[in-house]
Amino acid sequence: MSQSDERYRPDRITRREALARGAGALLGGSVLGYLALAPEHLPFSRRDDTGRRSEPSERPLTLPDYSVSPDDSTIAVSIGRNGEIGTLLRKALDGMGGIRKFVQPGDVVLVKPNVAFDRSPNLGATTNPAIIRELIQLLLVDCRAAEVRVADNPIESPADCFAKSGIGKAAEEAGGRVFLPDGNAFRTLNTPGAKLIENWSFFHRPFRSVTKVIGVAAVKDHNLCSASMGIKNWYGLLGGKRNNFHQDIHEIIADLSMMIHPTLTLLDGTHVLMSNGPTGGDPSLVRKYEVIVAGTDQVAMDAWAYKHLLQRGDDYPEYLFKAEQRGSGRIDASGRIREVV
Amino acid sequence: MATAKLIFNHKKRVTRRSLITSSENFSAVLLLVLLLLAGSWFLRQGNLYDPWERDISQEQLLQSQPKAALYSPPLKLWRDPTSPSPDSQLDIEPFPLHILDSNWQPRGRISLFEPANLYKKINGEAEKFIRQGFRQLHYLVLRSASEGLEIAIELFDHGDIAGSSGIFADHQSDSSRILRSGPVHYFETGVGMIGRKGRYFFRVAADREGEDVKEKVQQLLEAFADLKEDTQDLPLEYRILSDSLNLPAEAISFQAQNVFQLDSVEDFWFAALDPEDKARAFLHRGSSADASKDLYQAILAEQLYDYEIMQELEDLVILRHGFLNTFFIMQRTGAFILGMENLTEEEGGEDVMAMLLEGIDESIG
Repeated sequence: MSQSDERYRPDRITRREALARGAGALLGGSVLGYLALAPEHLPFSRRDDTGRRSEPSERPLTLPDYSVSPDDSTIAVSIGRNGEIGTLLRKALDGMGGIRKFVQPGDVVLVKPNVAFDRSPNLGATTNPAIIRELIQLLLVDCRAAEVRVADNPIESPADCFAKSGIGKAAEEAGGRVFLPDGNAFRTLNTPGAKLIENWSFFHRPFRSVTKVIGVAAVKDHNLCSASMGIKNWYGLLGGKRNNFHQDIHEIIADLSMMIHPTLTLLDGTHVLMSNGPTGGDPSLVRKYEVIVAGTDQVAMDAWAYKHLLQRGDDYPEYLFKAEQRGSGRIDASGRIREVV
Repeated sequence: MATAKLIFNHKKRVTRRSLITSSENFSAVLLLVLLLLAGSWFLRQGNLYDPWERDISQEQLLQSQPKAALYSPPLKLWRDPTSPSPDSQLDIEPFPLHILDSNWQPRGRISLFEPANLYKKINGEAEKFIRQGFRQLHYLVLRSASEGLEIAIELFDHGDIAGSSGIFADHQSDSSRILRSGPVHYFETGVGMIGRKGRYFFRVAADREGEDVKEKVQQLLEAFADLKEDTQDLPLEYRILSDSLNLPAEAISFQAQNVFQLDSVEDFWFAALDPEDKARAFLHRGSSADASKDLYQAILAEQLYDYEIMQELEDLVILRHGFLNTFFIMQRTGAFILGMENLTEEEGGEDVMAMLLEGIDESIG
């Protein structure tokens, strides 16, 4: 045997093995061919002619429960009366046990005022900026919050609304950080049990790392839902074509009562737009009270403000009953209300 | 040993080393862990990329910016393209140019809104305007260079006098004192005014009160009086109320929907007989006598929940409110429904009803 014959060792493959390998290769090729070439609607097809397969998909987020049980859990609504804005705010918060019961050092706090319109503060269409200023100072100085953010998503130009309402300036001067919405600031929020906004675009960016949320709502007449107060204020965090919800406004407000569980809600009773809301335009329609309402039961707070600030009696808007049915609070605040005069 | 020199052969691969060092083992485990971490991070991220998360902070950018001057300012300052150029002729139609001067200049371009996008300007209130025949809104903000004041002007085109008077009536409160300046009806609001002229309705609101604002509002009033309008016939109902009762235009208003707080009742004209009194005459023209008859019966049926009948003839009824004790008179003639509401005395409306009937007869005669 020569040296070259020693090196040549042909594979010993039987006919059965050859057939099996061939069949395997054919099967594998067929599977791969099917995956690659089968029309998109057939099962397991990997084709993407319409581009739907490669569309970005988003996992809806859920918001944590930001609420804190106050010391005296029987009190759900506290009314601060008589005095300057700072005094009113402290009185209202003291009625709930003080702001430090709700916000601890190191908390990142989101404050949500009503900045819905490009209107000056004297027209009552937006939250009084003086309340925002006082609140931020309280949060930063008394509570030693790590950061206070102020955010809203007005449909009109957000920059103009924050400037004209005076809230942008008040927030920044007091040490807060204003978040304006843009295209990347929204994510889909999942609200279990909501009828209209179970999965809906939500102004999420300011909520990153936030540990406490405080709503500071204007109290005003509203053309469609009779009154815009604490619960309706959260409408400003929605994105998308939210104006469509005006066809079913009581349902959407009831949904809002489930969307977020804030740490605290404040109602601005210092400038109440009594009619021609929500934009107003005539300062004579704005009634000035020395009242700020603080609380943890938004339904009870709205009912109280509807009766005593807007002076509409007991004929509450439909959305308050719907919110009550969904367990977001109770209209009847008797025994759970405290006035600090 | 020729076989050993071959790179490819049929022999199985075996590890001939008898010792693998611990550092080599450690490195292998470390690499494996890193690979697993990277893999899980990729899986978790998916396509949820948010640039904000990976933005470089302003502070870092400032710290790392090069010292070399990379930018030389241009000789001519950059100007916001949305702000008006002092050299160019401004277009602020339909407002006249003379509302601008060296002190008062527009803050931006004039904005135009139509029924489809009115919600972008007055979300939540758009429906109220659309119900009253809204067609267009021109929005302009004037800024005073000296005081830093701003005046927002909203000019709504409602197509006809019915729409503009209806929305104007919606804006009035008990304290509104209606004034007249030529063809413009308005009331002052402390920071501006609200009013109408022909088919236009307008709202003017400044940031705060002041002499500058008052002066500018007066100037705007003159500008609104000069607004161009297509000449059009006044609605018949308006003319009947105006001529037969001899009332000024500011006393007459139109309500498109929810008349008498009844969802199904639409398109009624009202005339306030006395600014100090709540009594009002009303007039409606239906598409036919039969349609008006049906509407008459429908209103009567609804009103009986709150009122009791004092007198009823074939096409005339006098009702008294259950606890307010005010009177409501309603009469039908042909396609017209006329009447009076909030009367304090039963006989108080006879003259007015007679004048209205005479006016209707003349107009269709």
